[in-house]
Amino acid sequence: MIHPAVDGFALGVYRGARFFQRFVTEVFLPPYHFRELVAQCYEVGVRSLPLVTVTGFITGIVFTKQSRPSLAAFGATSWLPSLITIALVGSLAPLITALICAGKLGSNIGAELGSMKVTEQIEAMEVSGINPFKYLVVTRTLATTLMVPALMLYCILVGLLGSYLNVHGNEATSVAAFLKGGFSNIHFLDIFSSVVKCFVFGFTIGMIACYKGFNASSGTMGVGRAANASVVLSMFVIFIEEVLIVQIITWIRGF
Amino acid sequence: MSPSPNRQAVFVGLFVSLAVAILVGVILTIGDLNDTFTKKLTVTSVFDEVNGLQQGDNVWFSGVKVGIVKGLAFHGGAQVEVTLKVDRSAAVFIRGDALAKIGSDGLIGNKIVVLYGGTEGSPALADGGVVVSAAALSTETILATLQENNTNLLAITTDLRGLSGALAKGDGTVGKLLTDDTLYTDVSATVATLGAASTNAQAMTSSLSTFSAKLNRPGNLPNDLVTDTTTYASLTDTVGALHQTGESAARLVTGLTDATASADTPVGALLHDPAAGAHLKATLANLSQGSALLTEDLDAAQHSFLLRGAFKKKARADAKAKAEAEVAAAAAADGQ
Amino acid sequence: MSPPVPAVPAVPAVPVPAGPVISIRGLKKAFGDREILRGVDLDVSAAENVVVLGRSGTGKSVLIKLLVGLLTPDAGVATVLGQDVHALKPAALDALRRRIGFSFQNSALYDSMSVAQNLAFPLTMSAHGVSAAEVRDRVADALEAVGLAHAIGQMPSELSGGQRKRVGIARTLILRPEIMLYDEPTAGLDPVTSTEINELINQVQQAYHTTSIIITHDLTCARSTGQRVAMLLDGQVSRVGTFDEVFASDDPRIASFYAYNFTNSEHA
Repeated sequence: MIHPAVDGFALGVYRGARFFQRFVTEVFLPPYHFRELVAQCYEVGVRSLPLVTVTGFITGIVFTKQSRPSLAAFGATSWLPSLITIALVGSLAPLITALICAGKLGSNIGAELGSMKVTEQIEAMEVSGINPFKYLVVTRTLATTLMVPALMLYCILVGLLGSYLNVHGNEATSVAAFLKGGFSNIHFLDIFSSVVKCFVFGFTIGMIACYKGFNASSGTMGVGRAANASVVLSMFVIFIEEVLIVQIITWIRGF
Repeated sequence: MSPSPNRQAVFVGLFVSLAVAILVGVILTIGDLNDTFTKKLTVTSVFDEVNGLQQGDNVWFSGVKVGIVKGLAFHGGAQVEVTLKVDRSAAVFIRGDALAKIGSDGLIGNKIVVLYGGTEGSPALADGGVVVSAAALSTETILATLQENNTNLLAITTDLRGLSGALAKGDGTVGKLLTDDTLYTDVSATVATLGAASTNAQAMTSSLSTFSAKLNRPGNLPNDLVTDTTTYASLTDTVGALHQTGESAARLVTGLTDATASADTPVGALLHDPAAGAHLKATLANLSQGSALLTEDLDAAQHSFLLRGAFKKKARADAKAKAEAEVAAAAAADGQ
Repeated sequence: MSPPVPAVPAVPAVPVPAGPVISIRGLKKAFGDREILRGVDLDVSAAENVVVLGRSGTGKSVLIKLLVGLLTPDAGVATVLGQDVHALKPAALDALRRRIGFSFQNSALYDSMSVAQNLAFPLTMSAHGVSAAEVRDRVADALEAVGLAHAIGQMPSELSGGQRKRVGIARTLILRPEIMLYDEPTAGLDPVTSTEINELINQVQQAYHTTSIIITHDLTCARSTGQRVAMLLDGQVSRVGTFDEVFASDDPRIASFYAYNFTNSEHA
């Protein structure tokens, strides 16, 4: 016993680590719930499409609009496609997608599993001889891990489309010139690092939301707290991961 | 209500296909633009300095991107060895003796390696080859020169500003010249007066020369003139006075010249004073009249027997000097 | 309100090993500083309905959750169907759990699934090789057994409390359990519905020959369903016997419990 807060934090870290360890062991062991995985992919991926579409599109337009004056000062508006593409592929698309998903999926999963926990549905599953961890946590975490990168790629496409419309409206650039300018400074490492980043972000969102939901305290308050905590914590962790991954990628780029 | 599991699977499948299609599209675009799939050859070049060139920067040849900078490494003392990856398809057009320099794709753009030059007929760039580097026109040099130009320009404009200010205010010689128009009328009047004076002076000297020519004419002077000492003495006095008069005239001309040089001298003022000018003209007229009278006097003297000998003697001496000069000239011509 | 409960179709009795089906010895459980169970001993024989009575917060629910391994005891042994529940490996524990039906206090229906999906879920998830047609048949049978055949396409949120309870029981029956554990089956229900649930519990016991433990603080439920009653007081089973035997006691705590139940409202 050092201090209740420190104790609580240490206990939380321990439980989180055990939860992670349980995921790692159970994800490989049968039975596999493919049907539930597909259903969750639908919930996570397809149902998030409208939100990502709107956000990505607006980001593309707004970012282009706001970058134009500073580039125009140098007479370098022809660099807009390159600037937007680097920003979108490198960090905007992964971060936007991850944060949107953290908000939408984190609260969804946190509240769903939290209310299942509170109304004993998770125990009901357990006493039916079904592993609720495998059925609920593994499928949801896998779904977010797989779908967030896919959503990110989609976000790049939509964001570039928004940016292109703006650039075309102002500079009458052709699609080919836009793409050529845009991708001339993008390398494989950029796109792969973004995809890898999104796998990590997706896993983080799923894992944290499932943990918070799975360990919700009883009562309606507990459900709300689980949903809220999963959003806040996953966003926080995503930013930390972003910093770390950028460091690692920069290090890899050195080779 | 969610769609049935089968519909869900279809949607998920479509969505994943879309994502994979985007990924493949992006990869192909990148691959196309970065020429990842084109064959390359490696060449190196050693630079004294690379101006912030980085790995991944482009290599240009005749303004076309033909490769990228693969790596940078220190070489020898403080030199930098740059490894370049050049497309094989482009390398066949680059001569082996081409030069490399560091350039930029814009004033604040990325650094690039520019391959240029090379002589027609030398073999194409080979894998593992070394490209000789040329000293680059670095941005720093450009900026240094530009700074020097700036300083000069600043000095010039400062001077100009002072000068134009002074001109406007009428300070200094040029300023006065530009602003004072009385000077111009003065000078033109002076010059006109001077012109008249010089005409008179010319008339006087022509009269003098006529007189001297008559003096030289033989047989005009009586032989016994030399024996008559009083007459000769008075004649010598007359010639001395005449010489003095000439000198005075010369001084007068010099003074006039001085008067034109400065508008502020008393002579100048005298010159453009109409009264003084008239006086001067009168003086000159008198002088001219005086010389005419003198001519008449000399004429009379030639016809006087007293002076005939003296003139004859002078003519003989002249003739002897002339003959001697002719003999000397002939001797000189023979010696040649 | 609810339709009359039809007769539950009979199934052949499963041969039960001799001796008690459930045997609890010295079970202790504490949450933090709070001791809930202080050494519980209880035996339940085959095809017997045992009611565990106790006031709220005396650890009745904890007791049956210990029996299915949802909780781990601090001390003591719980033997179910001849197996020590807390010594089993996960796979064996899951197999044992499939032989036990657990009816939760709040039914614990999966809100995201329809009634039919709720019933089919344990079957499709745990019993592999069951055809879709068989699943459909068994779902229909189980719903009919609890008198809710018409609710097959509804969502749990559209059901009343009594209907939810029945669907919850139907969901446990679908795996044909040998043991039924009921956690407060009549809690939150009106007296008429409570009576119907009590009848259903008895019918299930007769039709499926299940061994049942019913956790309740409702004496009406205890009297109508329990062949034996165990009184849980201060974390221990203080008296076991028929309903009348237990309440014949002059223990003031039991007397006050009885008086409270029948002199005040049905639901404390």
